[in-house]
Amino acid sequence: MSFELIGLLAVSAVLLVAFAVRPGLTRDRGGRALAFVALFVLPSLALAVGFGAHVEKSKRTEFCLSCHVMEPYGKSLRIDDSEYLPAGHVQNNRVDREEACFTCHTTYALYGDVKAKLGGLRHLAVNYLGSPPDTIELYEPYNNRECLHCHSGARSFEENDAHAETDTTMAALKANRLSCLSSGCHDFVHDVHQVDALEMWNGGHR
Amino acid sequence: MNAARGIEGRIRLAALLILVGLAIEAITLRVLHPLSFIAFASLGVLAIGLGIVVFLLALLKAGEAPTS
Repeated sequence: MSFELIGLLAVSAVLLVAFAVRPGLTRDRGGRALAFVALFVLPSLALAVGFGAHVEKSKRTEFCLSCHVMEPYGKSLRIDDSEYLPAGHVQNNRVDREEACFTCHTTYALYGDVKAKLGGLRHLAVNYLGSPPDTIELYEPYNNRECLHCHSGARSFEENDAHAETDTTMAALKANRLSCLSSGCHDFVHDVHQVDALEMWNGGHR
Repeated sequence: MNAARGIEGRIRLAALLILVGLAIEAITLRVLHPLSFIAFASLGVLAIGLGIVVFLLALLKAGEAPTS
């Protein structure tokens, strides 16, 4: 929680307690103006800032992994083999470790993160009101756009032999007609059913 | 006199509802779990929203009340 939000909540609370204890403060014009600030302006602001803080918080890797069903996915980030795409990205800081899930699993489109959060509400409903499937699948095939957000324009991507194999390969990749996760390309992803049998990276600790 | 007391009662109720809502917001922001967002979006927003509505209604009533 930011200092600004703590300050906002504290100031609001002090004013609200004052009006709860002494509602007669609103009898004069100054009191009414203060009441408008304390009972309308500040709470509205606190709601907006609080909502934004919750959305930011929900981007954190720790947040995603707080559900039991996601534990194997978190574990897969520590597989000691950089051929595994998420593990290689997280362990080599290609994505922010604090927001690893969100970085690769959002659309990056306008309001994409809001759409992702609405999808998250559905996940919650399934998790607590239904039963999560044994294998969790994406709503639609993984879109290369999530990869290209960082890799497009990068020399290591643009000049890679496999990517520039034919005249059409690069165009197909960029148009999402050929998936980055195609068999034989970057097809080792979370592999949660095998994760317990794989060796884990110890995080650099000796 | 009674009208003023009624308005002050609404102000008190609004302040208490908003206080409860802000407390829920503060608590849920401390907890890193999807259910904390649900608690904020349902209970917290409801309490703060209700408090604001009660306050605005109190303002309307104050406007209607005869001045002494």
